[in-house]
Amino acid sequence: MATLPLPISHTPYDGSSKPFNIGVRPLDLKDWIEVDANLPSYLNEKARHYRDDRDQVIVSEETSVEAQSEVLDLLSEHMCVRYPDIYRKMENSIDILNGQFHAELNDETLPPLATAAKLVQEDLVLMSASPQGWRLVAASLCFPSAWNLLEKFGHPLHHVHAPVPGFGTGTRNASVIDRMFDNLRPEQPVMRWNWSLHEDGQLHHPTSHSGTESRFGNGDIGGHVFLRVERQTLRKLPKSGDIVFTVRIYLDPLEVLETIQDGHKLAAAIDEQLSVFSVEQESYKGLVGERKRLSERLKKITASYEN
Amino acid sequence: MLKDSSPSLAALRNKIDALDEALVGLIVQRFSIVDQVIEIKRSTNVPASIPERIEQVVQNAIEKSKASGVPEVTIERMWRLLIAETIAYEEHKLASK
Repeated sequence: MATLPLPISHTPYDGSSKPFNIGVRPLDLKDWIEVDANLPSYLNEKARHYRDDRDQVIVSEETSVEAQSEVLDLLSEHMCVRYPDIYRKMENSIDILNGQFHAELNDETLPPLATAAKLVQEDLVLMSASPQGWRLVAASLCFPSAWNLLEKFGHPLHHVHAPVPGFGTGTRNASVIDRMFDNLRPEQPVMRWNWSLHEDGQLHHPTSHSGTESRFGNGDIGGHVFLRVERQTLRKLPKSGDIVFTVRIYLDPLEVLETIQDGHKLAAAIDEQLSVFSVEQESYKGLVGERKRLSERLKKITASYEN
Repeated sequence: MLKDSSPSLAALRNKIDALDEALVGLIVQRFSIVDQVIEIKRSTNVPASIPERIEQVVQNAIEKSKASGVPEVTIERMWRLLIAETIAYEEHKLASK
């Protein structure tokens, strides 16, 4: 997929968003969704997944359709008001970028949440309260970061988070997240950051890396490592009480740190955070056997600023 | 005749009154720390209500009261009231300067 190399817009790996922390903070509703010059490439990539592997990227429980429609209504309204130069409301559809893209709001071939996801660069996940906890009842997930949608569909949060060290069933983090979902208010959306290191600039990553294979190629690690940032938001829906979870992916080659202001500080911050990972955390992030080479590369970037 | 060794209602009430006095003192202390938090939040533009912090505080109270016999839901309701009042106090102070 061809995306434009844009200036880095978010750097949660600067130490402000520690891995394996909940790190949820209040979000101004006007900043719910972000749009940049890569909108066409993201939407084209989504269209390709909808066409080629729809069953892998779209899931929907029939009972969630009304809440999905609520998301579609909120999102289409939000985008047209927030980005009027890009989104235009037609009678039963939304025009994007002067008709370059078009979404029928009453498209009966798609669940409403999948139609909503055609408007934006974000993936969308719908969570609904149940006696088992908050369950994943619908999603359009084209750009997963090492997780498989079909394995999580229909399951409660603690199951979804089970592979994450410190977030499984019965942990304090699981209790805090459940309570946070219960008490989230429609007028107060929240957001959090997640970040990881991947071996390519692909958006679609449905599998995790748990082996010890050389993930970042042999020899020089340069050119094989990408910073993958997830901007996640949670918003409780005022009518249904369900929660829509959005995930936006930002990708940058590690080498970009050599070219930006304070890149050396960012490299040092990443190195420091990786150095305190437990064995389980290192495995979850797919860095087993690669941390030493990564550390050497990050130190080289830091040193390049000192010379 | 057996001598009744259980404390009288009046004595128990005296104990509750003493605990309440201590509780009020602790709440006053808590709010004096909140005053310092407000100044930091003001200078760093952090809002009064932070959902994750709320749930961490509630979780702390529930964990500390486990096995005490006091119902979890009672502790949760009391702490949510304390937190709601604290947030209202913070919001008022943040808006007033």
